[in-house]
Amino acid sequence: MKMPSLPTLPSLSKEPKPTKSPNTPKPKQEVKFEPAEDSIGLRIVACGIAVLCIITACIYVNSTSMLIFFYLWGALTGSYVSYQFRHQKTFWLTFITTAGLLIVLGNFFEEMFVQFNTGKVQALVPFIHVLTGLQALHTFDLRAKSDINVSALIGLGLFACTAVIARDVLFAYITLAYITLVASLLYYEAVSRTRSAGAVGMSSERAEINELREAAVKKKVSVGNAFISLAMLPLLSILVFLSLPRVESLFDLVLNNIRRAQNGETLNLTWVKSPNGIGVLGTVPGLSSLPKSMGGQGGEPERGGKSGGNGTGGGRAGTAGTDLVSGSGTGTGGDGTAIPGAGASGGGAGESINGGAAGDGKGAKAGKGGKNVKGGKGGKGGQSNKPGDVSNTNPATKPSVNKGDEEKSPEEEDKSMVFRNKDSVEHENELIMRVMSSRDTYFRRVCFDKYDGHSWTISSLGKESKCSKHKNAYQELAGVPSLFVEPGMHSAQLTQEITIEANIGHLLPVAAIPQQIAYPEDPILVDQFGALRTKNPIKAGTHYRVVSQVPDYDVDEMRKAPFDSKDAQSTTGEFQNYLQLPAGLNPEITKLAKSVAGSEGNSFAKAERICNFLRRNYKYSSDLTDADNKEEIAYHFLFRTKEGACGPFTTAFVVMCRAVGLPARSIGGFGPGDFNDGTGMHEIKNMHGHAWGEVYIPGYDWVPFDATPTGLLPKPTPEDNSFMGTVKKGFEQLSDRFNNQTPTPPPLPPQQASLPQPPTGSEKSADGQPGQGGKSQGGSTTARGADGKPAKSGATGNGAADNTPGATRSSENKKPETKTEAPKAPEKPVDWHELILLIIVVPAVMLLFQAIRAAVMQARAARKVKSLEKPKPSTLLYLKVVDDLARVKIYRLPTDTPQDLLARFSSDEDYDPEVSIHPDLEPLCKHFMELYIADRFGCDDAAEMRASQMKKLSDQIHSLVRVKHHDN
Amino acid sequence: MQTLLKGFWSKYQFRSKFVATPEGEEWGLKALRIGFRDSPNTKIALYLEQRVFIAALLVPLIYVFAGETTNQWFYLIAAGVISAIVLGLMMPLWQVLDVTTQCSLPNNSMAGDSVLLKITLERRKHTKLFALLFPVKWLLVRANLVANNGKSSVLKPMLVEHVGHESWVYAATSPLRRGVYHLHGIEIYSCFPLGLAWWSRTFELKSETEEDSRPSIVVYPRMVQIEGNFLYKIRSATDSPMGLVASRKPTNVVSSSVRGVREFMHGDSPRLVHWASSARVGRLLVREFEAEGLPGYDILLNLRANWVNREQFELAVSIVHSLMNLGFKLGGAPDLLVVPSLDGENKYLPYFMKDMPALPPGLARSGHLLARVEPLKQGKASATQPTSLGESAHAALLTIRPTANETADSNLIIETVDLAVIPRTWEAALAQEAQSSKEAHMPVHEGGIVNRRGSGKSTGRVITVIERLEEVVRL
Repeated sequence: MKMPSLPTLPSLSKEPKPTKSPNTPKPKQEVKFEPAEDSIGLRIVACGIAVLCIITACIYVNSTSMLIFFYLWGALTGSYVSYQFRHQKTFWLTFITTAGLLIVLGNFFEEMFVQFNTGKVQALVPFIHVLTGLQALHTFDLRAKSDINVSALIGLGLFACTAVIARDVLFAYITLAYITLVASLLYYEAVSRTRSAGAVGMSSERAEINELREAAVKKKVSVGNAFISLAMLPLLSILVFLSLPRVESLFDLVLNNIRRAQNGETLNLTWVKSPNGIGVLGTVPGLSSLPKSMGGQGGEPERGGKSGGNGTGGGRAGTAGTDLVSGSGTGTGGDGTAIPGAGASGGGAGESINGGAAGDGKGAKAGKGGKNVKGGKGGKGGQSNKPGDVSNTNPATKPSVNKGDEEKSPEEEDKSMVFRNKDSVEHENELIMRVMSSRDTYFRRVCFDKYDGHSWTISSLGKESKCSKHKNAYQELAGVPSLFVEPGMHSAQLTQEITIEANIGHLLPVAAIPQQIAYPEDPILVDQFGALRTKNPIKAGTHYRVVSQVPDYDVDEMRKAPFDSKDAQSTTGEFQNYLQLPAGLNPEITKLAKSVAGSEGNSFAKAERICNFLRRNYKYSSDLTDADNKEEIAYHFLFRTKEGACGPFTTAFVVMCRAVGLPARSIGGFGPGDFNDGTGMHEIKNMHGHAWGEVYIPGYDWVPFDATPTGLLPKPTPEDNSFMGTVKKGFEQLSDRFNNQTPTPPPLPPQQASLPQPPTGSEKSADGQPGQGGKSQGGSTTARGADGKPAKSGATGNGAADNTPGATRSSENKKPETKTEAPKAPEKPVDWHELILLIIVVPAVMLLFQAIRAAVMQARAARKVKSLEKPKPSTLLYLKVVDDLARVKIYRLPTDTPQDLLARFSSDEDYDPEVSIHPDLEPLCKHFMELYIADRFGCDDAAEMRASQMKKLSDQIHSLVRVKHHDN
Repeated sequence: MQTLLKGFWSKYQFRSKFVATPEGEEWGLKALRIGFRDSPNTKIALYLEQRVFIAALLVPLIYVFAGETTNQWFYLIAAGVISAIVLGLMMPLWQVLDVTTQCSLPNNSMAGDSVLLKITLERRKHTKLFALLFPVKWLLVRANLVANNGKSSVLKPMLVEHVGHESWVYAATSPLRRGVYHLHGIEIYSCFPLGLAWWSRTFELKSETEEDSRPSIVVYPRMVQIEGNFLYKIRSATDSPMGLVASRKPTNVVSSSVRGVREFMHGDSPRLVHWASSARVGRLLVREFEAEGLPGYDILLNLRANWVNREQFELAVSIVHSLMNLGFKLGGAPDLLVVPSLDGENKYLPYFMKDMPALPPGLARSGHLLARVEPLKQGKASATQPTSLGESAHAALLTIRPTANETADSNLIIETVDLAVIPRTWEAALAQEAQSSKEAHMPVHEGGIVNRRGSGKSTGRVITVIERLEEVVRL
């Protein structure tokens, strides 16, 4: 073989140096383009994120199906097209993106215009549509890694905007899916970046004992365990989510510790504590578990309601759990149609707070009941046997008040002790209000100080403070004496958005100690008890925002506070009306109270002992409707029945406190309600009416006590938003199960509203004695109260044959329907879908053809270059040269290195006399191989120069080989 | 301070004439680097890229937004971002902490050859379940092989997809240039699995104070076998009518063929005395071998010559290396003379001589020297030690010098080199150069050429002009 002469190769260094002239313009700096991303996995995940975000956004903003289709079509097509054309910039892709952007912006302005015309501008939905469009359009431009990152960021923005609307559990699953996809995206991107940073070197693993088996196992591991690592992200996200302090908790921690530092106290860093008694977990959908007494859940299986009589008697209405004073008039039930199992007879509240004050009003109509059973006729509205008490201004005595067309003065309303909506008798599940709040709170409405043994009333509203809007924005309440926050008392600020969904009179439900309220109408009246009243009745649809201070009681500290006898004496003098007890109070109560409270400790300790005594020794049972009770309520509860709803509990607690000299009063309002997974808001219904007590503790002002067994006030439950709190809670639930303490069944829709308001029927004892709530003449059913407690059958029908207990149970066990109001899609008077079809679908078809063509071409190319999955350009050139050399009988064996291949030129073994090799071929190949090795393993910055040289050399080799081949 | 340093550097006598082209661009991570030493021989560094800061910025934004909207799912999104940051920071750290490395490499190589390094990666002992849950994947491994005049590694990071109990990687360098390469350490990088942050761990092979004891590769200049036909030209280039016969002591006789006898010279081995002839003529005669008949030579390499570019200098060094080998092959012991002198005190030595091992004169020493030499810029010649031209007055002095540009076109760059034989009187030219800096622009050889044309001392004669190393073969 002839030794060829070395070819002369162009060398940059040999070129004469360019002379610099002063006028020579500065050469433009080369813009380095980011290399196109080849990872298919990365692109698939990016497409998945885009699709997920688009679907999520469209679902929650109620986009039209046409729009969803186009967005999805855009995202999928764009992802594919951008992959196919990642190495080139095409005009039509830019055109599509620009045109799509214009359409998206046009859609935004059109939606805004429509909203503006309808007078209700809400920019969020159009903005989400813009983002969705951008997300879909950006998929056409996923060329490099940075583009994919931008796409993921747009997805995050879209996701965040959607989260403003979406508050249901489904969104949590979507969020987790999103996190998982993002984890996959990051993984694929990390792999891609790592690959681009390093050359794939020769590597091997030491096989151990059983080589094949080990190799197989390791192969599996190497593929699978990356996803195990990725799965850690969503799991850790959930854990972090559960233990992440909420913004309010964090602010509380800071503010409380600032106060502590100012007072010279030790800092308390247990920020996870929730000051309002319920941990933040309580606000997490699906994790909240409200105590029974709040009506959040519970309710024993309903006793089967007996079939009613002949239709004359309304069943006794269920208690609502907000009753303070049992008693109601006896009378005929309402004559409305009642449906067994859910019917709420207007026969009267079994345990209405002020039931005894019911007058001679007519019985309310029987409520409508469940849907899935045939309804029996409700009893007729009860007729009052006797004229009502003077104080009886029960609006429910007239059916018409249910519609809210009869209004009362605030004073009347206060004295009537309306805790609930007027028509609560008929609509136990009726929604009172929706609250957007980060915490579960009690909602305080009214306060009573006077107790006559059978009912609670207000002695005097005192001097009312009028609060008007400050700067047309909100009413400032902080200056009102009754809403004064004790200096030094730890409290947290809480903002709540409340939307009233029913006509509820004049009393505004607010949490804790309100400091600011943004109520649409002026003025807001605040009485001496801190209750807020409006001048005009609060109508459904009213929306207001309240900023409250929620005290964070440190019970340990309160227990340890020294007892100041002087303070106690001055308190006794100052709060004389809060120590009032009914005449003829049974001395047993005082004796019991004193024995329970003891003589040691301060006021708080005594009140706490009484509270704990009631919680431990008395049973919460709102189905107790002792209609015949004519005894004083507290005595009856403490010594006779030993069970009752929140009313008797509260009454007993307040009476006992007063009996030992602690100023106390009764509070009516609502519990935190149910958290609606669908809306992300707390829904307070009629059944959530509640009562609790307040005791004056020097230095802490009025401290709330919920004496019911599951009451939370004043101290938060141990649960908090920390991970350990969750674990502890889980263990407690487990231990409950093992102890056969079966969890409380799901809340039952109460049969009849337990009326905190006066009996709706005429069931009223004329002499003001406690009436028998809703005693039905014909009905023998026992309706049972709201607040999720066991309810007796509310069947008050006329004994319809199908008014069976079973039917009743089935209907009552049905979970209350959650009213989720989906946001309304903005109107679209202009139908531009056809236009879009014209603009998009036609190019889409063209695109599709182009994409298919490109796919076919790529498939052919892939079939040709099948040795490597992702070959570098230099590798492709090398393979091409290897193919070319095969024409001159220089074959590359699988184990051959480039040097080995070169050695075959001069190898005698491979010498074939029939093949003549061009003398320039070997030096060309040698140079090519040098460049190839430098490109594969070197790391200098001359890659581009090498690439061009290699291309040139490979072309030369290609032509040389063919020329010789043909010559032969 | 900066100006001072610049001034010092501009006057530094051993400043390299050509800016060393980087062997490899440092694998760039545009990131904030936080490094610390976790053990005497290992360092750990965290590289925080822009994306981490973006993610960290997103967390409070989403968090505050969650508080404003009272939507729990914002907290979930924020928790996701927090978790990603935590995992993104912790898992790569786990990866690099769980792996130890070792490396083996050859001691020497030749310019233009690739070197294969074997890097062994070993995980700490773990159970299979543990390895399943916490795999070590997608590692970047880089041997930090740095040339003595370079700043960055000549090796790209190598990708290791999965590290089981033990894995090894072969890293092939690109064709190396002449020089000495030190293996500073092995670096492993990981951003698995989320790619939010890079962690690196550097396994230093030796501490900083023991720099010389680091594993190194000496890459000698390229060398070709020279036939030696040019040697006859050396004879005619000398002043002696006898030529350079038997000019060298047969210290390394490779030829066993005896050509004749000659008179004993100081330094001849007594074993070579031909006693019969000595007795016959009455004076000591020693055997003269065939190889001794060839002319001996020393080689001069002037680092301060007017080298036009690095390729020209590399060509010259390769020729010198080949000539040195030829000299030793022929049985002589040619001296390699370098201007400026590299035999002075340590403080006068250029940077590339700092790690020069102490070797006796010979091929090994010249090889090491030629592996290190760099063309130097013009400096104050008086500051350097005068170059010793050796003791032998009989051996010719060969030099490889850049071909002078004799045309008027000053833009023409001539990359060829001259093989010239020069007398040992060129020291005077060197002194001249020291006196007149302008004239000393071309210190030795240009001056020599001028002198050769008639004005002044004759400093030698060009034997041939060489363009490529391969041409030397038939020289």
